[in-house]
Amino acid sequence: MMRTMTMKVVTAILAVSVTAACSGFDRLLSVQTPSRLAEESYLVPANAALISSSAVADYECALGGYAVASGMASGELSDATQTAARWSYDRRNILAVDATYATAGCEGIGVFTPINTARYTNDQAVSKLEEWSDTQVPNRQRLIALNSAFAGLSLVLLGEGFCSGTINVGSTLTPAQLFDSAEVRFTKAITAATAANDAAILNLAYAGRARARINKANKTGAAEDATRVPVTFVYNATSDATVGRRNNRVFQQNNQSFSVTIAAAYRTLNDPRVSLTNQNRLAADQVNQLWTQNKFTSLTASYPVASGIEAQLILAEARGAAEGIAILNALRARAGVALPALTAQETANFNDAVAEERRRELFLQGNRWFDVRRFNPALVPTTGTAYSKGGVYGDQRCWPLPDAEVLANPNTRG
Amino acid sequence: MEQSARVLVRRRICLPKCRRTPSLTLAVILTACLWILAPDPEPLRAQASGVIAGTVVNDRSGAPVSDAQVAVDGRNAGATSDAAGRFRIVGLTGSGNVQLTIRRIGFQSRTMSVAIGATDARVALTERAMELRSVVTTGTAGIAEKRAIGNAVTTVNAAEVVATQPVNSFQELLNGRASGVSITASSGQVGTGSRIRVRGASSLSLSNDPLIYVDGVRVDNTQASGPANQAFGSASISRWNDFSPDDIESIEVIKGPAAATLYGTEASNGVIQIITKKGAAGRPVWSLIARGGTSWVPDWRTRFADNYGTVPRAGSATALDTVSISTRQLNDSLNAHFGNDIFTRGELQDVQLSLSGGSPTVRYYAGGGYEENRGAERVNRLRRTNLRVNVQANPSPSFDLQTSLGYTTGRTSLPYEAGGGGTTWATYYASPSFLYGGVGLNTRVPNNPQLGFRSGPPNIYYQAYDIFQDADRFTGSFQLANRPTSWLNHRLILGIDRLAENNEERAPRNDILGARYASFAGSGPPTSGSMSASMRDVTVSSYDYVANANFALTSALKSVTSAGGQIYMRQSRFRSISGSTFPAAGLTSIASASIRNVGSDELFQNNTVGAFVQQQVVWNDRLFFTGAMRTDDNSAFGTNFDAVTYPKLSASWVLSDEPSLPIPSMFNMLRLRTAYGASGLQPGAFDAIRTYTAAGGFLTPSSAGNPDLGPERSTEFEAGLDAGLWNDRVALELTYFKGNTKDAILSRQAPPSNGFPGLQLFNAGQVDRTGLEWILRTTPIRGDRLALDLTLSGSVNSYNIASLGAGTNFVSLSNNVGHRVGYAPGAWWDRRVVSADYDATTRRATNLMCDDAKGGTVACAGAPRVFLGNSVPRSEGSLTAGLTIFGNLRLNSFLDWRGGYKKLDGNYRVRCGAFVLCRELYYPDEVQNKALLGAVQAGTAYTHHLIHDASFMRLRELSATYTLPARFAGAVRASRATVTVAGRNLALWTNFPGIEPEASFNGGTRGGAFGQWEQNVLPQLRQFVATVNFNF
Repeated sequence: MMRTMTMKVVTAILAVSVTAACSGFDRLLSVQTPSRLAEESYLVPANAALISSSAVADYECALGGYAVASGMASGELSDATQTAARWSYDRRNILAVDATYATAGCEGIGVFTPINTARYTNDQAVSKLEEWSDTQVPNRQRLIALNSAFAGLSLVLLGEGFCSGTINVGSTLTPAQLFDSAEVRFTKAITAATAANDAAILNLAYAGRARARINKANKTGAAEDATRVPVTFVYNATSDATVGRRNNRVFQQNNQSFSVTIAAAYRTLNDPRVSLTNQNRLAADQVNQLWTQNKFTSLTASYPVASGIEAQLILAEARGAAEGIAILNALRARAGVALPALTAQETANFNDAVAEERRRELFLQGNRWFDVRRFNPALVPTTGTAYSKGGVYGDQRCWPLPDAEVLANPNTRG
Repeated sequence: MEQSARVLVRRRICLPKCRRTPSLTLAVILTACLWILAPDPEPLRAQASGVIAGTVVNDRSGAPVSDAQVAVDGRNAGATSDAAGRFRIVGLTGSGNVQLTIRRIGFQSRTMSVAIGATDARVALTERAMELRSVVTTGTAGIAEKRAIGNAVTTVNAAEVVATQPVNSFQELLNGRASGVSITASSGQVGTGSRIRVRGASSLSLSNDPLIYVDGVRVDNTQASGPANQAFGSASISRWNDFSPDDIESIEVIKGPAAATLYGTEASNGVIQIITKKGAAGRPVWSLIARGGTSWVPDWRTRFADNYGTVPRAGSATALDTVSISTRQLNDSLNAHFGNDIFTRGELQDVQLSLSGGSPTVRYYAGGGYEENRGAERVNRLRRTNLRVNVQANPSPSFDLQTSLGYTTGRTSLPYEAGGGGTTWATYYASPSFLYGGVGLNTRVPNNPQLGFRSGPPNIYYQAYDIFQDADRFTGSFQLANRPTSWLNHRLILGIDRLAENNEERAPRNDILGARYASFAGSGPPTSGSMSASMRDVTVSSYDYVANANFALTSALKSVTSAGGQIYMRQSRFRSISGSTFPAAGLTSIASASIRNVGSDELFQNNTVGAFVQQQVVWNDRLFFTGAMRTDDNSAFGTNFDAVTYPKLSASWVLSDEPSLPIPSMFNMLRLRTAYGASGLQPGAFDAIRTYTAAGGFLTPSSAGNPDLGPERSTEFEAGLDAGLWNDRVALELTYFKGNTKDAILSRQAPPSNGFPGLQLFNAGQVDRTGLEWILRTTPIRGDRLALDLTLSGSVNSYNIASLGAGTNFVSLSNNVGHRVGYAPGAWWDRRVVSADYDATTRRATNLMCDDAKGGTVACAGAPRVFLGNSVPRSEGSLTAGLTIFGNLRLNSFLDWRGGYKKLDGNYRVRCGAFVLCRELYYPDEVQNKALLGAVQAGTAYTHHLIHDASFMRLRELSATYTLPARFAGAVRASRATVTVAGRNLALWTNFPGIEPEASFNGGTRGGAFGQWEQNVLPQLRQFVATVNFNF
């Protein structure tokens, strides 16, 4: 009798506990992810402004990393560290297998991944904004304009930095094709900015399209867009000191961590547009003398994404000859620069003069690397020269499409 | 007189060392206290009426044997031995001799004649080489005898190993002692650890770390964590250090899915269970262990290659001379300027004290200790305090309660190494150029303060950085077992594992250093210091319920039905903050930094809910069939993926108990066993979902995710035999396994053009595996004066990728490690230069031709990557030899090996490819192999010439343990005293041309499961340790 009772009690307890445990399973399996947001919670109309500004921030960070990495490749900067993975930029011999340029984030001066991410998030923002209605999203046209322009800028950087590129796991595209795709996005931005009556974004889009067009040697089209941009216009990227990703990358790499120094070719230009400080000591690599730039004065310094000065340089290049030289001289004469007009000797070769003015005006803004490709100046130091930290200088004027993309993207293979 | 002698002894031994060895002082104080506290020893050779008393010991090691049943034949009298092996039978009538029978699981039982009244009986029991009655708790539904289990369970008798061997950490305890368990050391730095792999590495992309249980409770199984002092993302502090070897009774290892099915979805890498010491009924037994030792880097003055460089030629304004620099030269310069050597002698001090005892209804073990271990680099130091309280109670015949509580706290300070810089960096990559202006600088001024060291002399590194981890860990379990009826028992285990780490990397503001040494200028103008702190907090909670119902179906047939459920909840939190630019020297808090950064704040939660049913049928207690089914659901499974179910079948047949079978008489025991089962491995918390992360008020793509992601599923069949031969003189355990991992989770580089950075996981492919494991124990000499025992343990395995998913036959993990169908996972793949011409004018190898993978050659620029070798060991093993002389002196040697894999010599890569220091680059004419020269001159473009066979054999331990005669032990009121002198890492045999075959990264971009690197890592230290062990 007693035994039966015990058995009943035990069975009942077992049954109750199993039932109780089972009913709680779903709750047990739900977990919190406070530091990450799932896509379906993020991509909603209520977040439209955040989605838009976050995509812009992706570009800003990509541009910062690109300015430093391409600065090393193009001879504006020299690596000052003992981290061998960074030297390939400096030595102009990036291999397709190298991880830093292919997969590192913008903080680690990666280029390919951050630029692609910026292109993706801006394109994604535009497609979502186009899906949603004006009642769901205030200032929708303005946001469409903004993100279209930044998608275009991302493609410009991809085409300028790399020998070839891809979009959304697609097939391999030439730089000219990438600039075409950029132009489509700038055109969309111009339409939307006009509709939204936003002058700043409109100027940004015109300046961007002018750059894409001059990159393709479409001088007429480039001049048409460049003339629409006021000389005083500047569209700045924003920075922040407390979040590494949001730092002014040039300042952080050059003036804060001393990871790069200004290359020797810029140290004695005596030009207010290339203002430098000699720190009078050896850098951490014990090879390079440490020089720092004064263009950006803090981790929070804003840096130009596009400007009227760049548009003027494009215009000068597009118009050429006397008109071009006049534009260059006007820039040299402006307040704060006050340099004498270019001499006949300096303008004997117009292209060289434009390239030289661009190298100074756009110092550390991420423009020089593609100029090295399209103006084809002699490489400094010359190819084959011993790189003081090991190896020899290569002859790259663009970076190869990384293996990280080629191996993972079936469309890039023949 | 006696008092003064004690004082004298105390003065001579203790005082000179008191100031610098606090733990030794502590040991002496504790000994003194115990001396006073300890009960007077039983009077020797006394006769007492009606009493028989004595000690049960292990005849091989002389160690006391607890829980031995001592019974007086023909009378209803007996006793159980306590933790010191002592027993006392009272109430015997009459006089003269009686027969005592002594029984203990794991030992051959023994009968001996003892006179009533004897109080000094010494019962030496012979350990069975093969014991099937011993119980196993790992991988079974309840507690089961080994004979009932169809899979191999490897048990390491930790308490015995620790008592006699120079074992100072968990991984040293396990290394080589469990077949099929491979331990890869990382660095010789104290506090760093090893990666433990059970039956190789079968997962292509997920963790290959086994599950860890402590007294039935799942604990965090992270193997290494802490500050990334090795850089490249590798942290080197071992979490295995949290488990003090002195607290461990035994370790059970079950290997592979067939054995681990009941552990479900995370168990395919095997399970390691740590069983801590429990009290034995009897009077209180104190145990004191004190260790002292020293360690050093063997042959460091001559072990590292000379480096070459150019320095200005005397008397010339421009010319340079090529010269070399050696470690001896560097050391002389360091001595002249700083007065110390590059490497120092490490010191070890360790004191552990425990008390155990109890009554038949309540038993306890309480222990604690303090360890201080200094390494061969001056700032390398581990300090640890550990406490443990285990209590078992049987308040009624139907209830057992057990709590196990362990706590450890301490600080590990590490210098930088590997990619982080540090002493090894400064020394291995020294250059004569650093005697002058620096590399490539034609500076005529000598007297570079770096003295030839790269970046700076070791002393400067120690001044400039302070890297440490404070870790606190509590592991506790509560177990309640109940037997409500004769046929039903059930138990509940509740467990908590709580780990709190604070990791700091400090570079205090130091303007003087910064002004003098370019590499120490720090970040921010001027030389202004930085620090970063990261907190890692892990909580694992587990709830485990199992019920067993036993029924006798017939007189020969028995049924055991088991059912149970488990809930595991793991939460990990990471937070990191950093700051730089301190306004003044002396400030090192984040709050005082001018620039402050929030690095990360991540929470990872992962929960598993699972249940199983198991049915066992037993025939005549010698044939066992078991079938089981387990179902699991996990919070990390993709939204499109549901729960997963794993089956298990096993059989065990004790042939030697089968009266009808004609078993040859040489077998005193023979068992066949086989098991088949499956288990899994779940993906990480965020692998399934596409997520964004916030930084500075904006969101950015974080993880591409994969909503179809499910767990890997591993299935395995194993079969084996256990045999005891010639009256247990020889014992053999042999296990063969064959299995595969399906839906193997593969990480691929997400194509960057897709917008999401990093890796993406997907289920694809299959990995097949087979292997053989053995343990052979023999006792060729078994005498009172001389006994010799030998144990040969080992395993071989073979892994092969059967598929990688549709349309893929190669997945690249890095530029020289990849998975290819038909080969082992994570093997070495790279271009191989096979020939080159030589241009005597430019002194460069030209026209490099590479292996075209078809038996011919092709220009290297377009050459394919070819197979260069496996990166994971395919065999491991050990040979233990123990010699006992006169029952009180035991000599033990322990040799272990690993083989069948290759490792990358990153030191050579850095010296030649990156820093241009190797002789080949300065004297290319000398290099006969021009293909090699071509690879070396190409910088870091090729790696095939760096990847070498890293098989090795090491004389790991050699020790002598002397058990002091009872009268000496009695003089300090101890019941037993032993002294052990032991050496570690005494000899090495290897073909690996690098510095140390065992050096590697624990994780990060140059570590992880596959493709081990050695780069600028401290070699394993040689160590001598003296241990004294008193029982009171």
